[in-house]
Amino acid sequence: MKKKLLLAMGSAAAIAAVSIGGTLALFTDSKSASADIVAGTLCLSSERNDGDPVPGPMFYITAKQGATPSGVDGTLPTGYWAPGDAHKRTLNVRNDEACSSMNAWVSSIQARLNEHFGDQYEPLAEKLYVTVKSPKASEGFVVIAEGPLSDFLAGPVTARYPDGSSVPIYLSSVRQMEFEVAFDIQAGNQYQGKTLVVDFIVNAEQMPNNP
Amino acid sequence: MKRILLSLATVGALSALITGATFALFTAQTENLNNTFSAGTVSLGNVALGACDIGDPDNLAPGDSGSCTVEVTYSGSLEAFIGVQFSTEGALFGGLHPVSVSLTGGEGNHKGYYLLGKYDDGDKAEVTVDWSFPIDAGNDYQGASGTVNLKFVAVQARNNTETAPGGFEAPISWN
Repeated sequence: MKKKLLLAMGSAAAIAAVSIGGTLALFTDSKSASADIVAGTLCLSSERNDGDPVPGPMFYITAKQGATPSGVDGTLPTGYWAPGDAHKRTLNVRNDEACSSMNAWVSSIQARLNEHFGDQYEPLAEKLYVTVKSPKASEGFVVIAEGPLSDFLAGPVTARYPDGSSVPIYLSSVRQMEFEVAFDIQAGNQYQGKTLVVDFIVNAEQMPNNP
Repeated sequence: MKRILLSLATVGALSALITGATFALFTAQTENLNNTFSAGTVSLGNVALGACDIGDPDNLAPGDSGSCTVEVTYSGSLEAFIGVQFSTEGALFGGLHPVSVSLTGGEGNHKGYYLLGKYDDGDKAEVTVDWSFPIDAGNDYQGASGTVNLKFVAVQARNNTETAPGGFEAPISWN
């Protein structure tokens, strides 16, 4: 009895050994899937329009001041400003697929004193009235932001259509923005010979999930 | 009851979180640099006495007349109208037969000024002051003296031009 038991145990051990050490050839199949999640991008670029060579400022006094970095003179100098003067210039703002991947809203417009020009006379900004217009379907150019230049220097001025709706700038599209600056005819002699150099900034934010 | 209170507290906490949440939307901006706004200038330079034809200015006699030309240089960056006003002082310009003064050489009178014309930087504007001592002045004027003062004014022409009744271009306003 003892011998039989030992034999049985030996057989079981052998089978177990075969099972553990054996190579099975069962039919099998498997599939895997992965999904990359990448955040989109939003970036804008802009150039002056109206036939001026680019890049360059929209508003400049002399052709040389309006020259491109490669030295091509600007073609639309304003000359020195007199009270009562008003000049319009267009900025083409692009939401280009080269670096952007989503629709956007133009959220605000602001200005910044140019740090590289030392002799600035900030009070002049109170006498320069800025009106920014942009096309709205079937209505042509309508005002989307306005105020004294000093308001734009103080911070972002919200950009909205007159009915309060947001201003879209769709992917791969160009939004024309017409800047009109008018010098108050009541300005007075204290502004004679004064200069202000500013950068205009157009801000945008994502359109998706942002009604 | 305790559970309900706990749930309410949780909802309250969530609401607070939602209310106080800060959005972090994707944004972008683009810039147009170096926009320059320079106000021009309107400025008068030196005033100079030009040619005079007044005989002996210290020994005028009734019936004398003469003229002097006065010149002013314009030195502003903006095109401007220049006008002139005159005033007189002294006994020669008072009484019943005062010395009369008039201005010539410009466009004409306009809104309180004698308009000389429209000028650019570096131009010279000229006015002639004519005077006449009446022949019937009489002895009251012996030894009398007087002074003619001229005041030149320049005002921007751009956004300030109209056609005067005389048909010449003139400023809408002198100030």
